[in-house]
Amino acid sequence: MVDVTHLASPFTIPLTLVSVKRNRNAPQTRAGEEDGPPETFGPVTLTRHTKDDARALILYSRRQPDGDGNPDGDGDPHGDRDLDGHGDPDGDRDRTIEDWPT
Amino acid sequence: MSDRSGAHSPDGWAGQRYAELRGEQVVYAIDRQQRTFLPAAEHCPLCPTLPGGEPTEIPFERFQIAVFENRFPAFRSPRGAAEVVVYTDSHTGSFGTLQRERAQALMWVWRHRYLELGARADVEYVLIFENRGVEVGVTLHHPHGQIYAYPFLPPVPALELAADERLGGCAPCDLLGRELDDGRRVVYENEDVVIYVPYAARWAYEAHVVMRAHRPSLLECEPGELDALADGLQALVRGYDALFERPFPYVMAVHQAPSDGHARGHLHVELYPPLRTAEKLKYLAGSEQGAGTFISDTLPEESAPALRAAIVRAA
Repeated sequence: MVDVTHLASPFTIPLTLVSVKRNRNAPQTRAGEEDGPPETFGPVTLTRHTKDDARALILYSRRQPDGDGNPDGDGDPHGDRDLDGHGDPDGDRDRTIEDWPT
Repeated sequence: MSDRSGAHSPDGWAGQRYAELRGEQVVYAIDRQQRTFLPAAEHCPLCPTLPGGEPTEIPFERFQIAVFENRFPAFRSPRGAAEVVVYTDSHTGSFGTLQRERAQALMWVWRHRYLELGARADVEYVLIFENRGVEVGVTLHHPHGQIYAYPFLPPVPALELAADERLGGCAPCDLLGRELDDGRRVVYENEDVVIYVPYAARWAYEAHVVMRAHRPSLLECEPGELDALADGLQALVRGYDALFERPFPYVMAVHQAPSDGHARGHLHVELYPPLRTAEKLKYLAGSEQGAGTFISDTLPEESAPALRAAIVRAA
């Protein structure tokens, strides 16, 4: 068992990768380091990663809650309530019109 | 004979060849023969990687929306790009069952990818699309779409630009006006989006999701328009599923301006469902393939009311 990165993104959590026997077509990739800090794009935040086969991976998360306490639709109303990573559980503390790219 | 293929590259891209008789490019991505084909759920490469589980394309335990470069690309830098857009970390469901806010966020992901890929020098056209159902060739059931960034302008957007020339302005704007004036084929409207079965639909339940305002691409849309687009798309695909009370296969293609900086085109999403009844598929056969002329056995004026009612039922 290889404990890998603690990810800076507020929308992802530390993970543990386990070396297991793969099926023939299983992707031969693991998480790479984040390629820089999270970026914002309108209501979403994105974190860029490079997989160890050099392919790019981007994770996107919505920066505001759904309003029903279940921000990511996974049945966990609390798992990532801090959607914009600013310690603001509402996730839209600093969302202004200037944040919307045109 | 025009052949720009070059050698078979290590990434499986064997080039593109110009088919003179049809006036179109054919792309050879031969490694795609090896791509994962309908794996069991426990081997799904689009699921998150769980502790003790098999490694997947997304080595995180949870995520909302993920985009990564396709392992079996039809296009690859420096000749375009091919990406996979995973809508959710849940293996089950569909675009239609996404939470509303997730679908709205997906519009921003599309916009972001269109912006970044379209800015590349090796990309002339960005196509965001989803294939749903084995009937249209899906090889992975996990809810996802794809993006192809073409190093050339493909025939369909080229024809749309030609239609602009022919009609003396924005063709989708003109056609939207005609559909609204007629009204018989309109199946859904909200403040910013109109959906209709087009006058000359090729598929029985083909639908065009069109922005009311002239927006060449996702980049020109106001935030509320993107939300309205997501709402319209979800209403439509939920209606599709309600139509025959079964998962409804389709190809969904986002039509936008080519990435040449001229902002020509009109953002709209076209859906091509192959079902003509609950059990019968429309096949591309002799006339469609040999002559390029679709033969349809359903009038749009007859399929539109059924689809409209299904959208209402599913709401």
